Amino acid sequence: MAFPNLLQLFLNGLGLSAFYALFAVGLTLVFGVMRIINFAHGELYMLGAYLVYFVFNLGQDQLTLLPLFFAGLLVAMAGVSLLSLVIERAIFRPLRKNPINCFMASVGVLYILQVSAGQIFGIKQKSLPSFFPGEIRFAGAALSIRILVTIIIAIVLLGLLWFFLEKTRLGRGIRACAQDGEAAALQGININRMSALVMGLGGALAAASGAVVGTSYLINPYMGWLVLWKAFIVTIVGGMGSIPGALVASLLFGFLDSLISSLGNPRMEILIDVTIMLVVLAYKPKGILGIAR
Amino acid sequence: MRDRRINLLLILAIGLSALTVLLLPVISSGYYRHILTLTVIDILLAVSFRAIQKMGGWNFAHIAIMGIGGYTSALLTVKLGWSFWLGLPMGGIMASLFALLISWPCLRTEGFYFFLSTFAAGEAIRQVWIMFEFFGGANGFFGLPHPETVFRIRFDTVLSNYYLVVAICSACLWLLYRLEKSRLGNTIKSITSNPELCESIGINTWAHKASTFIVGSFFTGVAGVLFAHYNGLVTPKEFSVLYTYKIITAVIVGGTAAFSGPIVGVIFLTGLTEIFRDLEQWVPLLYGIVIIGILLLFPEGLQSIPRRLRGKSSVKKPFHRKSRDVPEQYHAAIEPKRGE
Repeated sequence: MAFPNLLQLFLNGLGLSAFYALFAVGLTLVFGVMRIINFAHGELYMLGAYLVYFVFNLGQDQLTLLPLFFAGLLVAMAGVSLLSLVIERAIFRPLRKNPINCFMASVGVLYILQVSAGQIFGIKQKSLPSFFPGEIRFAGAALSIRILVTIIIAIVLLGLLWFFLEKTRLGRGIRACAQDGEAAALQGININRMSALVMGLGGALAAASGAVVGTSYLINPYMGWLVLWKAFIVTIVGGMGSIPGALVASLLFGFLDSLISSLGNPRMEILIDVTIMLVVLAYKPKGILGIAR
Repeated sequence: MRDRRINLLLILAIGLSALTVLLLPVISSGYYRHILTLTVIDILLAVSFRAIQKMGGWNFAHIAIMGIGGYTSALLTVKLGWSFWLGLPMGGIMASLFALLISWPCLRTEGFYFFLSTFAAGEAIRQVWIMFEFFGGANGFFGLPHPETVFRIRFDTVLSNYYLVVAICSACLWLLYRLEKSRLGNTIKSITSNPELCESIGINTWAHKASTFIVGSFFTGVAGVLFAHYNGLVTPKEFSVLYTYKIITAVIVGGTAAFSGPIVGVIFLTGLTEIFRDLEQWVPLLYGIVIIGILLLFPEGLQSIPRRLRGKSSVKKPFHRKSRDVPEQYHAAIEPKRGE
């Protein structure tokens, strides 16, 4: 077995990490503030991909591919975060006192979204045209433009999120809620508003990750499952509710998974990842950088 | 006086349902016999799920553990030619061993981590079945034998298999019920309501939780063996996370406070699924609406309805009137003792 090109490995790993980060940061952000594990996060991601598909079909004749993709991305992020706000208001808020009930309700949301998507868009797999054809070759490695765009979108969105959380008043409120909800409420921070905001942000991030995946893989109503599973491992290893933890774990698993798949057996991925997760849980139960109590 | 009346009602209800369980398949058609058999297995699954849940963990590897039972028996009977009657306990034991293996990492922390890590571990198990030819790959195993004849009773028809499943499941349910009412069950109940207090009086909370998980998994494994031999095959597809959701939905719909909760839940969901049998693709949507509706309207599940009608809640309210304003972690401190 020829050892894969190191640079190629690095680039593939970076692309995968960018995607994991986009998905997992939304999940962990929602958990950090609301203490809810949103099982429907994968379905929000699926809807993001479908919305891009929808916009593509709608504007196919008027626009060229590139503006079409960004229009789709924006529509997906806006639409899904709106839906997340509705879910938060109608379901999570009345149930918030009991986190397990919230979590179970999110399983209900998952069912509803999955069936609805299947009924509206059809169960048949959909595919988008390749929005970003071509690749850049250098030093024996190939970086496809698609992966480059994924990495750029991830960096831009996560950078914006960082700026929002660190530099603005609202962001400070969110961080306060994540650290200690009661103390934040005593300071006059409106927890309901923060929860809604966080759900909206999480939904937008999920939609963005769905949009970038939709450009290169098939879209179907059940695509959320697999990713959610991986995101759980990433958030557990990183530490539930910790955004830096999620980023570190995304990088770790992104590189690891691309190494495993380039060594030949992509199926081993699931076993190795779960073993790592179990070992981390056994020796560092709260994850690498966990804040969960 | 009141107690006697309730006891009488209880005995009547159990007697009636036993009669229904025994007679229904005789008068119904082949299809319904099949559904009834699967329902009885689901009831055992849901009740063992609740037994594990009683220690505070929502076990998302439940169906994977059930599958371990099924696969163990399939390997033993098909590859080694063992008898079903040996495969049955072996399936349960292997399921318990797996629970023992993952209980150390998965039970290190409270709440959320348990179900997330069991979710991931369960999926990994399923991938192992698909990946290795030893487990039959994606196609699984076919041709699992019917249970061997004992005491001249042959198990080669749906009806005889149904009675076999009912007999074994009732025995398991009875054991689980005794377990819950035993000293061990009470200890586990107190651990869930106040772990710190239990530790301070010298109870090894971790060991109790792990043993609940292991014992509950034994019964899950037994259900898996019954399921596998009834179907005559095991495939990775049958033990998917969707099945786990179905069981969890049933447990939530029925409620976890009483032993009868999951049973009510399974019967309710099966009934619902059968009513909408022609609209199969909409059934998950229905599950979703049912879960959310039940959580919003009856957070304690369907089994709380009779009690609610009598104006009582099964969960004792903390006596502090404004308990909403007290942070969650102090609730245990202001709550009255839970024991009846």
